[in-house]
Amino acid sequence: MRHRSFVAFSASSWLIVAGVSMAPSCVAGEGGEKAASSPEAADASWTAPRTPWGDPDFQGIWTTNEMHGVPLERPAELAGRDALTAEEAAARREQTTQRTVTAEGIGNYDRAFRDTALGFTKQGLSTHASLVVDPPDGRLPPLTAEAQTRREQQRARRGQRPADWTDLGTWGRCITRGALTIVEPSGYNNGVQIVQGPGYVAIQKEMIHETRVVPLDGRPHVSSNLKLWSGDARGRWEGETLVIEVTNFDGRGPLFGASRNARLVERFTRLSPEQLEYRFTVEDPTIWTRPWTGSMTMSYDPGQYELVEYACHEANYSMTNTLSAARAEEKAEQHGKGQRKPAGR
Amino acid sequence: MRSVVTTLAVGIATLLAAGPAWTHHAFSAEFDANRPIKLRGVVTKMEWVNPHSWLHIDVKRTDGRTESWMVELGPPGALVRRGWNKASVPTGIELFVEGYQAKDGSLKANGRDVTMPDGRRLFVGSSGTGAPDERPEK
Repeated sequence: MRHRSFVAFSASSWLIVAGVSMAPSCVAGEGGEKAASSPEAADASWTAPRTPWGDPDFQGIWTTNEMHGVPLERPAELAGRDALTAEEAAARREQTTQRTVTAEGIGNYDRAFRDTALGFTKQGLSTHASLVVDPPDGRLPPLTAEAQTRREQQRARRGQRPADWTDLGTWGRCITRGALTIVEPSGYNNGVQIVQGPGYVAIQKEMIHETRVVPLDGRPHVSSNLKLWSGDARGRWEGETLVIEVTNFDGRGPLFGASRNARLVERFTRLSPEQLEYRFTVEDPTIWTRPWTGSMTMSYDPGQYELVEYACHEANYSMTNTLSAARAEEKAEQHGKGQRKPAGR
Repeated sequence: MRSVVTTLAVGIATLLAAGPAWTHHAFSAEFDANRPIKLRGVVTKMEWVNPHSWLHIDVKRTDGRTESWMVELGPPGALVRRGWNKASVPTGIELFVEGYQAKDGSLKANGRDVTMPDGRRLFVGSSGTGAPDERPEK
């Protein structure tokens, strides 16, 4: 394994940009040892400092700013490559900043509203080709037949206008953006705060201000009859790595399309004073034919970054605007005044 | 690089695919790209709220009517980090807004650019209405 780590480091050293490491996986799944590929982690003498009670210390404010723009799956054009060059990564970030969900870039807010666009927060720029690192081609595994059928049904519904607020999804309703313990990278509010105590780790993600409080004492999960929006988490230390297992999902907190049968295993490793690696393995045999793993890095930023409250329900005009727009379009169609436009994505 | 961006969009769709048909509020869900607007008005209020800040301006029309518009801007967190706060956009100042009107025809718009009468952009740089300078730290 040491030899493989060295080879991985040599191969990937040219990919390192601005202190952000590219961390290709040598071993699939959550059980294997992780290849160290950053120059900091290659310094075998560095290990994380300890809390007073002896656990590795990951405490502080971190951000996933560097990951903004990295797609979930590797684009076809990057087949065979798990990393971009520094120039490609910069171009990808620029295009991510310039565009929103419309092809023309219409509706884009001023750059000043994006933490990742102006460089005033400390951040690197990830060269990961995708979040998915296993399967090694960076693509999600094939869907089960049942999931494929459901996906096709959803595609058929795409373009239908929302009838009421329950059609708007947990993101649009300001409930949650996802069931991962850390915030999924966005143009802003990519903050994570880690606080540790004897027997516990608490991880707050800025958007939408959820905190996971994870016991480390080996207690079992709650009964399988109990289902939770963000699941039920149990943690343990495996050497330098914090492992969190999450089960008991109710299927409503988005987890990349997983169902309530999902099992999430997360692995946090502090690669250097300034970088935390986060790997997450999603296992859901009702959706994917095999488990898959994603990887992100986070950077330490206590000097100037503070999590701000993101109580987005406080002024969620977007919900009422969206429904109002849908009704207006329907009315216009009824009166024959307009073409039926596809409902915006 | 267009294909990278296209694939990024596809990646996002994959990310959200298992939810309902609508998974995230989007510009085109609320606003109309075919209804660009240019407004010149006086600030009556600035709402520093999540998920989006809203700028309220009174716009005087040529026929003498005053219209009260709401303009959607980005989230306040990024501006808070750069030193902007509730006092940074005082009522009474005049602003130009370019954006796109709400699909339901109401006096709401998605604000793309907000500029002072002399052309300076409101939220970019330290040349706003006295807000603290940027604190870039790379």
